[in-house]
Amino acid sequence: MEATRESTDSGAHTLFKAMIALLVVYALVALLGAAQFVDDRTLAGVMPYHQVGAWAAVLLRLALLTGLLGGGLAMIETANERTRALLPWLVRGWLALLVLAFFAGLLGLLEGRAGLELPPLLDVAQVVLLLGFIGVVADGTKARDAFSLVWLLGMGIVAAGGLLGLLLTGDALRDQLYGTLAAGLLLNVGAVLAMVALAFGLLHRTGALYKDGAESSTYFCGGLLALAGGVVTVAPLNVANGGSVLLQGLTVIVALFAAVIFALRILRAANGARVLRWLALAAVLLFGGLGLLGALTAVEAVGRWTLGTRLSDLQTLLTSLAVVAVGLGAAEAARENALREEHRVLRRGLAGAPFWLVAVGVIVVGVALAGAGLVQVYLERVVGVGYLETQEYLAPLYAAWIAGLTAAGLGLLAFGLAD
Amino acid sequence: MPGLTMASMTGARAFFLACVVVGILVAGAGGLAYIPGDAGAMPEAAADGYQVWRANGCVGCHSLYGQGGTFAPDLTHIHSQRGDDYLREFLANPTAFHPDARRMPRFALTRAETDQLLAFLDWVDEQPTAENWPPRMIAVNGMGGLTASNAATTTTTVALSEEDAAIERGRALFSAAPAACSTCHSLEPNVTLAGPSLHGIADRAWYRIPGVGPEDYIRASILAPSDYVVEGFTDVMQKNFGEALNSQQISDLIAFLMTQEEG
Repeated sequence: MEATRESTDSGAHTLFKAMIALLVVYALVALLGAAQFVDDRTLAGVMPYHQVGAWAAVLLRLALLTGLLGGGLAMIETANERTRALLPWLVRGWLALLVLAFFAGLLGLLEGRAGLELPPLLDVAQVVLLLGFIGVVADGTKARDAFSLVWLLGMGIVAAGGLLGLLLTGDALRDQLYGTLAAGLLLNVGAVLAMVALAFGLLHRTGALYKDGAESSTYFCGGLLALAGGVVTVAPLNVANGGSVLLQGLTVIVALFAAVIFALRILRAANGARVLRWLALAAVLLFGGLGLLGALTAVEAVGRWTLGTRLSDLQTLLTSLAVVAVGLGAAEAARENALREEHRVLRRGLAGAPFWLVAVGVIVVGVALAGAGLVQVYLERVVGVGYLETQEYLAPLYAAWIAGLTAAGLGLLAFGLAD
Repeated sequence: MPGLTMASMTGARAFFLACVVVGILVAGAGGLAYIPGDAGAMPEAAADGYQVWRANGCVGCHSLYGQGGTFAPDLTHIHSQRGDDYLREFLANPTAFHPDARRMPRFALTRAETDQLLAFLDWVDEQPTAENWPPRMIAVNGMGGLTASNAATTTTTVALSEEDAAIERGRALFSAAPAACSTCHSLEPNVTLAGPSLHGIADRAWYRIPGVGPEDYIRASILAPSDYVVEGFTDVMQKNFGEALNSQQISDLIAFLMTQEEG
């Protein structure tokens, strides 16, 4: 039993470290992209934006998946010989995938219908590895509590989203449709479900919630958020095609309700412990992304104006960052478990700084991009100012975006170095 | 809540599974509803152009139907806004355009690839989704709605005669919403955007249509653009300027365009 825990804890710890490293790299690449929004003259020579943007998006997606996988391994209670033998290979395989994805981005080899996909072979490898991890966690959590069940289902949907993303038809409209559905299923439904499982699992493990309460919250919030994720995923297609009013109404109600319920349950249970602060941050980010922006932009009267602006980007970004925040909370919990009591006391004094840097940074990013989106809608879509001229007016907000990214990146670096 | 019964946990699990199934079904069914039929299949040239679009990572910066990158303008209607000739020039040397704004890298497309990409953008512009979105035209540049020069124009017209004031108002309207003529019409000789250059229109309008005076010709071209389509151009101009502009604005535009003489 002890060997099993060591094996899975070591795998989880490795993945958490990889997630943090990936997030630091993501912050740097995203910073390069954000800087090009202000001045593309000097920085475009380093790497053109279409490469920087795709690279940053892939890094963020892989970071959040890595955190979810680490959290899944941390849930394993028992593992048989076969699993113990397989796990190190899966972890090594995933690390190799991360390295290859890093170089694919660096060399401008990312491709696909949304420009965000890995090269096909890496995409296939990603799905295969995900299925391997799902198998290992399923094997090691035979008690089937709500946390493992919801995590398994969530990661299964993530893998299915990855498979859907491989369907290239050669027809632009079909590809855009499948791409939207694949990305939405992966993030809004699958990753969010796995995130909910990890969040309430952490609340239970840290003593903030009884197991029954944490399990029922996992089911309740997970169900509502999966429904919200489904309707928010299809909302851009509905808006662009002037579609169903019923779907718009359903999206507004479900997305807002689900995000509010999740936030309330997390915030009520979070007791100020360091681990749980990450969950509180995740709740706020998810409310902004999947909840508020998901609901607002699904309404045709709003979405027709916001589609394709910084606001639609922000919806995805905030949802991704919410998942990342839970991954960081899981990493923090795993780290605390691994430390002896005296080290815990020693670290306590400084440990808040990385969190606050990241929290303030991402909130500044969110506010800056929301402001940029609103100004863009007004100038470009209502007043009729040209796209390029509008971008010049947005420079101060992009500068705030850069400041926020810098703070978050420094926080992540400090978090990683503290390990 | 240690007292939760097995039955309530089973109910919670059932609620969860039902929500997940409904969520995925809504996403799937909602998505399938927008799969285009065979009638919307891409012609060969457009399909080739789509491959050029993908291979060069255009979607990393640009969006179509509002989906894609946000670093550069949405291109859903760029074909009808700019036309083949302008886009061909632009793609050949993008850095020469918009010298003071964000610039596009040069992709060194072959002539065949350029033709295919233009065919793709033309096809994009003609799809049903393009009729629904965006709610109003998104301009790349040239609208100048909030530029200092326009603001200055507004304030300085107070001191001008009524005729000069009309010309100045028309000048501002030419490059700003709701008219924004500059999006499709240049005032430079031999610079063709989506529509013909209006350099020298004040002279040409005299003899353009026998029996129709220059101001009436320009007015008709604004209100009913299909009536007098210039040879070599297609009938793509917006037909709603009669609703978008009031009579004063149309008169101001005419006053301004009547100052655009040859030489």
